Amino acid sequence: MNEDQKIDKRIHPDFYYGLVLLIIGGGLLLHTGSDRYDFDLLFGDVSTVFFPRIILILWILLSAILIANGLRGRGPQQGHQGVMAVGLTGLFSVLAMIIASALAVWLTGLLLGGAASMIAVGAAFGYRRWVILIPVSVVLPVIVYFALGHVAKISVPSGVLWN
Amino acid sequence: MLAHLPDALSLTFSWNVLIALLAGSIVGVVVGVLPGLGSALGMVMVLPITFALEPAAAIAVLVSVYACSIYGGSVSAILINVPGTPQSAATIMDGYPMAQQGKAALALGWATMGSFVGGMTSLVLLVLVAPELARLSLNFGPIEIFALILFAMTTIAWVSRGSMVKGVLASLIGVFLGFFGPDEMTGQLRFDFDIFALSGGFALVPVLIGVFAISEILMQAACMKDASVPMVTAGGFKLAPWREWRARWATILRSSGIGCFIGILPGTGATAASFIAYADAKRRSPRSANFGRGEPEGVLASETANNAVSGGAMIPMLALGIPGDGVVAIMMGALTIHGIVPGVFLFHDQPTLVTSIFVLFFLANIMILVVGAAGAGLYAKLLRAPISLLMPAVALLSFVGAYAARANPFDFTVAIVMGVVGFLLRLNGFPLAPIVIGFILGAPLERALRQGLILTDQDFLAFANRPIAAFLFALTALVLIQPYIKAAFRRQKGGTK
Repeated sequence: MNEDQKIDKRIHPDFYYGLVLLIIGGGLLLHTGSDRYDFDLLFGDVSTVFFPRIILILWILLSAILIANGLRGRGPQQGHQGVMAVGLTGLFSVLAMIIASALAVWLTGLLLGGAASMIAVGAAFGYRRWVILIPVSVVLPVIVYFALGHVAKISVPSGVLWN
Repeated sequence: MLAHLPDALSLTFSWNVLIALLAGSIVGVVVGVLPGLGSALGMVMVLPITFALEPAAAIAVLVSVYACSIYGGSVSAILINVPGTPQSAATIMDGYPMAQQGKAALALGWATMGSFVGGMTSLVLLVLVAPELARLSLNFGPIEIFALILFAMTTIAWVSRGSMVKGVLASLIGVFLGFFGPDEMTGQLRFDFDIFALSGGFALVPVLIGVFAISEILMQAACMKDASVPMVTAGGFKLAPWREWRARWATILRSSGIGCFIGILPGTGATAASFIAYADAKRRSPRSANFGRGEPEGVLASETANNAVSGGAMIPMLALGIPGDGVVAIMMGALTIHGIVPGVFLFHDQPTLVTSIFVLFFLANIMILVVGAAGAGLYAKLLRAPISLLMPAVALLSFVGAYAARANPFDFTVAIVMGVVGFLLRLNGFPLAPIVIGFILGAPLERALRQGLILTDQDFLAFANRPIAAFLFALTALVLIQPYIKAAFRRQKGGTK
């Protein structure tokens, strides 16, 4: 049995996407029935959750269609290829670095955290020419910090540790 | 419109606006040239910078990034056989063979002039059609606005890449994201789940940064193969002799027309326009046998059409407040942040500003020529920058942009979560533009529906009594059922055979 035949026997990713979206949509629709939204308004039926309910019902219906399409193996094959072809190591290392970088920028500010985050994300992407990466990572946050923070007077992260 | 031209010119021809225009043009070309960045990411990256600018300078940045990034995509298509933006995918077919034959400078000359002419033609259409459409839309009440937004969102979801179900679901996700925080009619909090950070709702900028920038970083990480530098053909800029242009004038006209028309249609976009124009030029040209082997007409058709889309796409955005694609949606969001609300009343209330948008669009197209010709020698060097060095810079600017909108650290979380969601959706073929368009149009859609229901005493069927609304509902229904009609026809055809 070749690889293509093996893949074809798997359930199409549309099924799982539809299922997750259905659960989220169903949960949110149930939430609209909670007591906090249950009081008379000036606008009668045109209440706070009137339109969200319409959207969520459509959401659930379309999720169900996606599940059905997934079970029938319908839809563009890019679903299979896209989900299967992901390089998980690269992805998770970059995602971890992005989260850590956001934290670093928030805690230590743009100058320190920004430089560290650029080096970390660059390294996670596999860039190993340190003589280029390190100077660029130091200079760019400095330029952005002074251009946006001081010249343009835009709020830039200054670091909660120092404030 | 002419009456406001002197004021618009004085607003536009100030040093800060011209510098903003030049900076936006350079950024636009750079993000267009570098594969993996593109128009949407470029717009998102410059968005926080515009916060500090006066409205005219902010518009100058946005318009020039938009126009120049579409052009920039052609450079990498010609020099490295990879389109910098999806809009330039059709340019590869003849642009790269020209570069291989040692005619890269000539190909860039054709692409630059084609982009300029396409942009200028669409400007003429923008100036002629948008004010008339705006005048017509002054008669629109909440019911007509509801029907119009519904039609536009359905069409955008329909023509989006991938399946229609995924397109509509993406736009519903976008609409739902707009529900978080206080209800604008009653002030009551919705979907905050007793989390204080959610009580203010989601700001547009972190959502845009997450959906377009962070998801792109994750996509690049997931598809990362190696950090090698691509083979780059030497660039340059050279214009073909006049007789060569004269022989191809019909292609320029037709491609401009195709681009303008497709630009007005919600959701179709520049990629489709460039392929349609390319196919049309190939079919009609006396040199059709040369297409695919380095025929300049192929480059000309593709680049003229994709830039002609820009002005066309701005027509429904400026006149009706309906963004035709993701990039225009970002521009509309940015204008709204500056207190400029595109739509029915913009032409009526701020005619000078609208005229200055036209002037800036004209200047942005001039900048395609200037930056295109002046920077041609640098593009080859720029293309040698590896994506693994660019992505850290994109990540840094994303953090700055997400924070700059409200100086709220919660927006870092929003950007990262939206990035992961956008990445997961992209992975399975969900289009991203409907999410952003849904997020932007969700609030006006809800407002129009609720106001309409109040006007009709909660009778939704009474909406159909309004002729314009009824017409738009019929069109929406047609868009929704057309795949089933097509399938039925196909089955019938198969059965007859």
